[in-house]
Amino acid sequence: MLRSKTILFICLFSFLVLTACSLNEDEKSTASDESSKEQNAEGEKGTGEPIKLYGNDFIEEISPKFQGDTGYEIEGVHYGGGEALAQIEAEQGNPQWDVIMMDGHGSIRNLADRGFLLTDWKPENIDLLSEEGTELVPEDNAYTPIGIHASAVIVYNTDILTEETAPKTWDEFFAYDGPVGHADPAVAAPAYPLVSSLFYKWGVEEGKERYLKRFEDGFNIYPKNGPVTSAVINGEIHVAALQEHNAYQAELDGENVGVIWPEEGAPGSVRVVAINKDSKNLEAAKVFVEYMLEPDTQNYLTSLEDDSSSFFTPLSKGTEMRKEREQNGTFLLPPAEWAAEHETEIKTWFADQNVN
Amino acid sequence: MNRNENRLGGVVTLILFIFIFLPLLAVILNAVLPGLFFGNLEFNGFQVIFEIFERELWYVSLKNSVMLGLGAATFGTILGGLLATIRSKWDYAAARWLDIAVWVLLIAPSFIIAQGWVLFASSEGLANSVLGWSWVTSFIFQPSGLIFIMGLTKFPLAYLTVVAAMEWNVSRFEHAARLNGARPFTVWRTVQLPLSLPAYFAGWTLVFIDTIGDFGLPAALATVYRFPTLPYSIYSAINQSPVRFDMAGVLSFYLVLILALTMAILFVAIKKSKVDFLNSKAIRVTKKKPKRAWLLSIGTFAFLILCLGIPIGTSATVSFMKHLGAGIKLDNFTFKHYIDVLGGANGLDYSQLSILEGLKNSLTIAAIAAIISIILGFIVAYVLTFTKSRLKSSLHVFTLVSLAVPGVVLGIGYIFIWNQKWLEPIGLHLYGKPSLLIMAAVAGAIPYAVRVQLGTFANLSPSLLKAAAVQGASMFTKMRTIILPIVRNTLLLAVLASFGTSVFDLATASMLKPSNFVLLPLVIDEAFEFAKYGYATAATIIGGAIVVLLIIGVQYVFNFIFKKIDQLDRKEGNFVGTNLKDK
Repeated sequence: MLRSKTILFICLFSFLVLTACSLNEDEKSTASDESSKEQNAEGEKGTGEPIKLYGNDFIEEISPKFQGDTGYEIEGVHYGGGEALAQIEAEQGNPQWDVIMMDGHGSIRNLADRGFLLTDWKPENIDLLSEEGTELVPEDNAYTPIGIHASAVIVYNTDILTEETAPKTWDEFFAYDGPVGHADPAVAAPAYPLVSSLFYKWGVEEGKERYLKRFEDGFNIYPKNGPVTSAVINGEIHVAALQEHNAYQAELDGENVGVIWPEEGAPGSVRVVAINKDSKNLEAAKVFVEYMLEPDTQNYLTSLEDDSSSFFTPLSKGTEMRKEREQNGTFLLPPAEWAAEHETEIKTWFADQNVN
Repeated sequence: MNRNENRLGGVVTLILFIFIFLPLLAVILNAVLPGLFFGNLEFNGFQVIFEIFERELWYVSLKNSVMLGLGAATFGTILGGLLATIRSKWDYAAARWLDIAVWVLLIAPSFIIAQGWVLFASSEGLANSVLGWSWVTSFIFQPSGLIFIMGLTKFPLAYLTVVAAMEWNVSRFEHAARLNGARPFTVWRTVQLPLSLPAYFAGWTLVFIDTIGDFGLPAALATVYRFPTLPYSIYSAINQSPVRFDMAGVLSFYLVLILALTMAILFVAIKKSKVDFLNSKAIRVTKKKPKRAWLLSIGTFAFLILCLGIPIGTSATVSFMKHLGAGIKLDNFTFKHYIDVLGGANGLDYSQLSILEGLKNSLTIAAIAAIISIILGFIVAYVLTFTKSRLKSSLHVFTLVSLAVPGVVLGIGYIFIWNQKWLEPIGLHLYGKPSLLIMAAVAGAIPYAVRVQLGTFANLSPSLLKAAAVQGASMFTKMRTIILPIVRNTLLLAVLASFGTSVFDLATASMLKPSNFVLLPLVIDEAFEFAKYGYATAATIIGGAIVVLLIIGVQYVFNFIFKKIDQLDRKEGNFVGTNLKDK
């Protein structure tokens, strides 16, 4: 009796504690809105606080360079793409980040639609963007595009296939008689741009049908692009839809792979920079966005030959891409709004098909 | 019983409540009130709880978890029971090794054992590329193969419970049965089995709980084989976009529900099957020398190779190989991975700080957590055993609950609780700080710390403490002069064991790691996920070796210190402790 009473008491007590906390927070959040406005007002002058950059590529290289070139303090935090977004969601009660730089403009659009991002601020350097880049700038300026790369090109095992026999279009890839594979859109950052591009190209219903058929014919999903690369090298799968970073790196390493950039275009993944609307140092965050638009910065990133992420198309004028990749490749790209709107549906559907 | 003891009981109850029960409650509440921890309270209704039957992935995760749990528990209990029966009946050379292996398996992180199996059995693995056994791949990567691996990894829990139950000799019943013409099997079935049934039940439940909450196996498997389980789906629900905290809450809710049910069944079973055979005639089993001891020894060694040799041996081998699939050849041999690890090479695209930094962080956190958990465990065991505190019953519930809460559930509960805005001004916004990792590690180690010490305390006579109390000894004097000297060896072992497990705690590390904070298990897991098997295994071997050396070293130093203290005590004529230990 005593025992059950104690337990009941504990449950009640903790419920009270928890709800009290959350109610408390409601009051606080209005108060903190005001105080954060004040802080932001200070931030306009520069609060001197180091900004926190979340992202999936170039974080180690760009942080010290930015700090050295501009004098603003920055701390880079490296995540996988999905992890960075998850982290931002987990922190929504109390955001720790100031700037995010990652690929997948659909997911970032999604954040913008839900009010996470600073909007209606136009960087001065936006005019430095090429025509291709300017087309990708959203109306509300919630994010700024800086580069685009192929979230998937067709990669085949040269011991099994030749350039002639390998699939050259996405239709042929889906019709290929033998095991094929790509990365998991729920886990790997470039895989959702890949899947959403194809779904957009074919329409959602036909996209689902084609994938279902592909699952029946032999389709391996790996969590990230690294294991996809190993699988195509060791012949576990014959053909892969592989992120261009891994594809060209494997080719440069002399592995038994061939790379095909489909003529109809490769699914594109746009790398964007976006600012947290609650950033404690908006000035520094804005300087970072301006900095990323500079042709010099983008050329620096494409010159990092040790980092396979340097395979991408920089979007500012007067920039150069790496010579080893397809120079005239085109991209399949769904509009950001479409990709954001269908993100949950497509990822959920995909995860449910991919369960053995 | 004095006020101090009451107060102490209150403090530890509160701590356990905050460390273990509150996060659990947060997870369950969040399933129905998803905005609770983000500052917008709204009732979500209960339909989200039933969504699990509509979404294929979640439903499959639930099914997989239950199947894996039931299978591994049954297989592990049969295995553990069999080995325990042999072990407690006969005295043979390899028996000691069996005990050591059991402890190694208990402490070894499951994801490392699982990675060893993956490297052995995958299509590029050693079984296929070196031994040419292609059937291993198809045997392991299917549900019953995973049950096989899990059973081999988790059987020690069943083994230890059954061994403990077999310590007592019930031969007078067996003799009676034999005299009445029963054959050995009938004796086992009608006498030994019913008497040891509670132990089998307890063992089965422990294996089930440990398997169903296990994060290591699905995490290691994810690279090569899709086998979603509840803990892995919880982890992926919060580590991908769009993030589903509500669903992580619901899946955790189901996990907790299953565990609660299992424990309830266990309690009923133990109550129902209580047989009083431990009376004044009870004597300890004396082990016989078997006729063919060498046969038993060979059998035991073969088993040890299977359960421990394959996973660890594979990892060790792979750490010296250039390419996994290229087989064991001289031109495939390399020290490169060790040089990479020791040189802190940052060639992998996720590692920003050196792996040695991660090792240092993990060791520090594990050491602090081990000490805190052992102090807490000591106090909890003291309050439970020797006081009449009113909080005893809730304390008991918390320690039992803590045994069953998987790291993944604990991790997400900690995010909910410790990432609320209002905590920041009072300096308690712990999410994203290493102190939260320490808390989680303490919560993970407490059940073991408490269990181990409860066991030792049970052998202590309360009259000793009463005698001291009559002489006016305070609670702390009693603890310091009577209990501590007696239990210190067990205490030391418990500290070292919980230290060993928390160094490699993958589940909480992956959920609670502060930004830019490297931890050893994360480095290993990520390298594995990126298919950098050589680097992952070299890091495992180096990390494991350092932990083992530390454990041996600390044990050696403390045994030396204890000896010195005893010598000092003898000189002063104060040898309560040492005398009792001999008893």
